[in-house]
This record gives sequence, structure tokens and C-alpha cells, in this order.
Amino acid sequence: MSIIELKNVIKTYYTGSEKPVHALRGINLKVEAGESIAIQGVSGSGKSTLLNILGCLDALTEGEYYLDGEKVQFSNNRHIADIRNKKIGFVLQNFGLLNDRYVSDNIALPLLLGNMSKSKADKLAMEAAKSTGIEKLYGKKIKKLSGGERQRVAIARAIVTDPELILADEPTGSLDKATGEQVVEMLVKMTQSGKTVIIVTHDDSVAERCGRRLYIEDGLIREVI
Amino acid sequence: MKFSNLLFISMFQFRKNALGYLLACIEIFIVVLLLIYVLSTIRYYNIPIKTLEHVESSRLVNYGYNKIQRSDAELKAAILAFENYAYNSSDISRIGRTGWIRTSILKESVKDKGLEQFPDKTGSDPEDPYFPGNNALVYDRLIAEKFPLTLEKGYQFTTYATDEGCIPVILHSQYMDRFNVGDTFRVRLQWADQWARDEYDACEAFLTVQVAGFLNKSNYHTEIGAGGSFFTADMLVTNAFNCDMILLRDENANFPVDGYDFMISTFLIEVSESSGAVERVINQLSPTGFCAPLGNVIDDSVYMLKQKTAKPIINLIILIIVAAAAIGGINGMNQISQKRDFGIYYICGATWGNCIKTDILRNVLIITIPAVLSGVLSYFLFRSTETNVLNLWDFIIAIGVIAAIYIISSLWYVINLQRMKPADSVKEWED
Repeated sequence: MSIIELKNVIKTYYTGSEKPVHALRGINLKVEAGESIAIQGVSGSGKSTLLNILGCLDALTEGEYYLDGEKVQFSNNRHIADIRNKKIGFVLQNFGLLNDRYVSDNIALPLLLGNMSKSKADKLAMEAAKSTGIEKLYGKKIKKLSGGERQRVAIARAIVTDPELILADEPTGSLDKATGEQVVEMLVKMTQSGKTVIIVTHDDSVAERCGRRLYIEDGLIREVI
Repeated sequence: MKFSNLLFISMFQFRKNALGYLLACIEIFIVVLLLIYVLSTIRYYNIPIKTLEHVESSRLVNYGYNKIQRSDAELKAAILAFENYAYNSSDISRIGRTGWIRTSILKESVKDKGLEQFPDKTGSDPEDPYFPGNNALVYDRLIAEKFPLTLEKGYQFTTYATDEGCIPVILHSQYMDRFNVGDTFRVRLQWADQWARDEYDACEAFLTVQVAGFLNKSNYHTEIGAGGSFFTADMLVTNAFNCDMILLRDENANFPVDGYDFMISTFLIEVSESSGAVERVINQLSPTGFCAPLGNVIDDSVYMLKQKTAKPIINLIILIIVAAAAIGGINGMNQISQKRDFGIYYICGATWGNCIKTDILRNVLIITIPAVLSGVLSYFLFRSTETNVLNLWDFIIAIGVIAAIYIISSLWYVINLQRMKPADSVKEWED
């Protein structure tokens, strides 16, 4: 079964008196569970917009989005917040971590927002930290970590709720090459446990590691074979 | 979201910018303190501010008592000050009076009552048509409202009805076996503005009085010990003067003496015999001239009051400063909280509502400690100096105003956040 299905998705931005910007012009896409997909494209091509829609961070203008067989209702805030919390994990270029908080707090954050008790959230956060090899950093503050360590924390946070979909936006953008490779390796490896990983990247070497490559141009998507 | 989780996440923000929050706390502390100060003074601007004008006591005699008219506002201020003093002071050792007022009962009018057997009436001059005088008080409605008398029997202002031309009186409980409510008799009323003045140098009037009630026996104690706080106000008054008759001065009655003068002079002055205490009491009663003393036993002078225009503009300026500081502080706090954290919460599965809740909870946590501290401090600061009138309402109103400002600020913040596209918030923290 498709984990993601986009049907003729259009996203248009209306910015006051200026002409509307058509970021996505009718995207049709099916993604199967366990796939790893790289999305590439030049700046302004619409890849971030697509990722925002896939991550339920932005509503589509027209079309339909099915996640795990369920139609996403963008008008229902609680519904899409719940999807972000339970079904999607985010890994971002600048990590998106609370820098003054501890590793444990950052990893446990989605669980706490999902109404889990603190003790149980701590337990699961520790397991996620172990699976990304950062258990020794568990009690440290984010601002004391290196870039690679921070990205591992971000990955641990992304998987702590055991989501079906991992969305990564330029996950290696702030890392050196060796560390970047480790992070990509870690992300791609997740597909072995049935998770779907979608990575937005400019880096061909990262894209080559993914099982499928998509290219966005002028709001339209094409498959790179 | 669970409240415990909400609280935990709210606490994230505290540790983020310790200095910023410390400054915010100090600011809130100062704002609440100022606000309480302003509120505690505003009420007193409703009472005209007085300045003192020294008048020779000899001139006062020439004026005559009835010419010294006190306004209601002055009387209220005086009573309020007395009340504060009576309940708060630990210095009080004796309440006395500057002048005196005495009633002597006409023997002829009570010949069937057997008053000759009373200890303080025995041995009176058989030729004198009056029994020896006893201390008296004059009560009016205003004073009765502030210091209601505890009666064994009878009525006060609310329900009494006397015969025309009679002055209603409340008698000492010792008279209860001899008199009934409604009995009338004649008295000679004598009064003087100074304690040392004798009855030959006093004013006098002849009244027909009618018994309206009897004081409660428990009102009487042999003496007042240090600290009047365990006495009720009326106990304090009745003990202070050891009076056996309280004349009720209705505003419609043709009362020969200005009751205000007597009440005030007897209430407020000569509070302590210990050295310096009177000065201190007068200062306390008149910290800023709101409530001037109406007599002074130290230099045997009497002060008259003159009205001075209040300056509410000063309070207005302080209020504007307070409001500006509060709004500035809130804006500062909102900047501290930043949208970045909300963006992170959002991608982790929070709704904007959750984000706002954490913000509001954090604000409440920040406000509470400095607000309580400033409330406590203001109590000690303003209680015994400037106004001596700080009460719970000042504190509640001050906290309410701050809370309202915070709520408005938070709402404004919510509106701005909701207008922002989620994707933009993500961008915000990416930048």
C-alpha cells in the first residue's frame, strides 16, 4: 500500500497585490512504505513547498493528499498536529533543536506533546538515543554538541515516536562530508525497518544513496532514472 | 495536552535566557509595587488633602465651637486614621481627650430612679439640682457606622424613635435596672476644648434626653492595656472615656454641640502619655497631610484645617509610566520567547494553541513570584509610612491590572502567530 499519495496537488501563494506564485502546479506522486526518496531541484523550484505539504506544515491549494491511506484534512489543526506528532519525523538542515535544553528534553519533546507521561517519554527517548548512538550525550546540553552530534539528536527525535515517514530537509547541509555520509547512512538504513525516508538535497552524492530520485522544476515533478 | 507536560515545556523557556527573565521579574516587581502605591493613594485623593494652619488656642475660644465646622471628608479621614491606628498600633497605652464633655443628670427628672445609691452619685451636694457629672460621648451616624456600639438592649440610629425635642442617649449598663428604653430626663451638658479647663470656664447646654438603649456590660474594662487590637472599636472608645452616657446626634436633631468636634478631639488626640508618643501618633495620623490632627496636647495648640487642591496629575503620570513599563516588559518577554521555539514545537506535533498555552503558562509563572513579593513588600512599605491604608483590594487590583495587560499582550501575540503561515515559522527558525 502507498504510504503517500498526492493527487494533482497545486500550491499557489497569494501575496497581496503581486501576481500569485504557483509553487506546485499539479503534483501526482505515489510513495510506497520502506522507500528512500531524494528530492532535488534548484532554489525556488518548489521542493521545500512540497516537503512542507508532505510534512503537514502547509496546506495545499488544490488536490488531495493521502498519508497512510488516510486523507489529510488540512483545515483541522488538531488532526494535522496529530499527524505531525505520530506519523512524521523531521530532520532539518539547522537541526531545529532547543539549544539551551538537554538532549533528553529535545528527544522527548514529541512524546510530551503527544501526552505521554514524563517517565515513559524519558524511557523511549533513551532508547531512541541508543539507536542513534548518542546515549552518552543524553545528559548534555545541545549547545555543547558538535554538528554531527546535533544531527543525530535530531534523528533520534524524528524516530522517537516511531513514525512511518521521515522527512529530511538538507540533513547534511551543515555537516562535513564524513559526518554527512554517516547521517545519510543512518537515514537510509531506516528504510530497512519499513520507514519511508524522503530527503530534500542539493547534493548528488546524497541523492545517489536513495532508492529513488525525484526532480522538481517549475512546480512539476519528474522521476530521475 | 497534559498540564504536567505543558508545565514542563513552559519551564524550558525559563532556563533559556536567565538574565532576560530576571530583568523581566525585576520589572514586574517594580511595576506591581508602583501600581499598589498609586492605588493606595488614589483613594485618598478623594479626600481633600489638608494643610495645617496653626491657630492660637485663645483665638479658638473666641471662634466658639460651632464655628469650627469639619467636613465629612475630614471626618472620614480622621476616623479612618484612628481606625488604622487603633488596630495596628502597639504603642497605645491610653486614649484620652483634649477637651471634655460631661453630662449631669437633673435630680428632679429622675427622682423615682434611686440614683442616689449609685457609687458615683452618692455624697453629691444636696443643694445642687444636678448629680455629679459623668463623662459622655457624642455619637453620630457616621461614627456609629464605623464603630457600632454593642448594646445590651435598645436601639441605635437605625431604628430608634424619640419624642420630639429629645436627644436619644445610650446609657451605661449600670443604669439598666433603673431605666427603660423610652424614659426621658433632663441633663446639663458641659464641654470644654481643653482638658484642664474647669467647668466654670466651659460651655453648657440643657437637654431633654430619651433612653434609646444600654451598652453591653462586656464593653467595660477597668483599663486598656498596651495594644488595643484585642478590643473592638466601641470597647476602646467606651473604656477610654469611661463614659456613662452616649448622646446620639442625629443630623436632623437640634443638637447644641457640634458632634464632629467632640468626636474628633476625643478620638484622636492624647493617645499616649509616654514621651514622644504623641508626636509619633500625630505623624502617623497625618503622614502626608491627608488627615491632619485636630488637636495637639504637646503645645496646647489647636490646628485648623485648610483645604488644598489635590494633584491627581502626579498619579496619572505614574500610571502612564507603570503601563508603559508593563507593556515594554511584556514585549521584551515575547521577544525572549521567540517564534523559533514555537516552530520547533509545531513540527513536533503541537498546535498553535499548545504553543500559546506554554507561553501563557510561562507568563503566569514569571508574574507570580515578583507579584507576590512586591505585594508583601508594599504592605510593609506603605503600611506605616505614606498612606498607612494599604489593603487587600489595592493588591488585587494591581495584580488584576498586570494580569489584564499580560492577557491582552498574549492575545495580540496569538493573533500575530495565527496570521503567520506555519511554513514561515519553520523558515523563521531555519534562519
